[in-house]
Amino acid sequence: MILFVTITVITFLLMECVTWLTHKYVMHGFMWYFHEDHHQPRYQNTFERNDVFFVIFALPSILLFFFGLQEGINYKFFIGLGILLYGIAYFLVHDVLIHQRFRWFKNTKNKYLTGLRKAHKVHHKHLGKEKGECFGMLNVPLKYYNI
Amino acid sequence: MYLYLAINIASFTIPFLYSFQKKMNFIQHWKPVFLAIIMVAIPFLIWDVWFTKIGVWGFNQQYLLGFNFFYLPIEEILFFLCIPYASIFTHYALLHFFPNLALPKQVTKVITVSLILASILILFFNFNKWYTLLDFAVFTMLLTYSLSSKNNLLSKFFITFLVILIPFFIVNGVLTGSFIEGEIVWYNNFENLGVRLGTIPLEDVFYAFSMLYSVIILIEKMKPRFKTI
Repeated sequence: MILFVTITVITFLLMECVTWLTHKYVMHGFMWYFHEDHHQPRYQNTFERNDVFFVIFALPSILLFFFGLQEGINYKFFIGLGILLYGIAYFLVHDVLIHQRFRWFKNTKNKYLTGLRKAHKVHHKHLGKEKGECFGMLNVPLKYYNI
Repeated sequence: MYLYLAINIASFTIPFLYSFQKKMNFIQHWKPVFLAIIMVAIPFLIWDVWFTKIGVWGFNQQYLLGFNFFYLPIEEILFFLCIPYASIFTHYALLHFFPNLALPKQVTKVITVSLILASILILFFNFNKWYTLLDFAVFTMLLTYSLSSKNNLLSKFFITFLVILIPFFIVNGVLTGSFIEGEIVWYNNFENLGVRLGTIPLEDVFYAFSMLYSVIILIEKMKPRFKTI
């Protein structure tokens, strides 16, 4: 039981690392084609090309849920769960709180949340592929929490 | 025989005495060094207590004094003071005598990213083993942190760590049963990869890396406050 909880928590934390790396080296790397429209100032449609990454990140999670439920439940299920929970947190922070695709928690005063928002604004200052900063999502440099 | 205590004392004494050597005078930095070692020792000791309790590893009373605190023999607690001190001394001594010792930035980055990918791959297939799970998780997080923080410490530490590995293999070799009868610290192979370098579980190398790298990060962070090193 403790192992399953730990696996979920560790997966969640590692997903921030994976996100940082993917964002910096893949999205701003060879998959820039999909990420480019996310760095344009305005949303053109309900969906953007960048949303393809939701599908990419959901696939391993779906597969892990499937293989985690073969002959009873096994640890793979909890890796899948960790990825899912991170995906939800990511969506709520990135797409709702920051980019306001739904108009929820618009007026939050929470220091952590406003810090995340500021850091991501700094990331979006750069419209191009190269020379970015603040690639993290749930963990950003401390200085942003105190502005 | 109190072998574990002897190993601690031997590992600590020589670097400690050399800390007073005039030219380098490492002892002048004792405040940030000991503070950083203690700050890192606390989480590692909690981890240690937990793993000893659930039987991921354990200790052979034959080589111990026999005083335990929270499942840990006193020697194991001293380990987190003596071994980091000896290693950190080695790191800074090397940099003192070879100040230009550093890998190019790009090479460091490639090694770091490769290690992260390898570590995630190992993790993915071994999430059900306690030691492998926590060990590589901490290692991955630290390396990702180092990439994002741009502190450039790894370009030096990747080299100095290779030197630190020499005494590491001797000390950890003896602890895990090389050259002696039985072992001082035993590991439950169901909770690690089962890959041994001699008698040392592979995870120990990354464990040492994470512990020492964390200490160095903290020392460097506290540096301006103490105006040393």
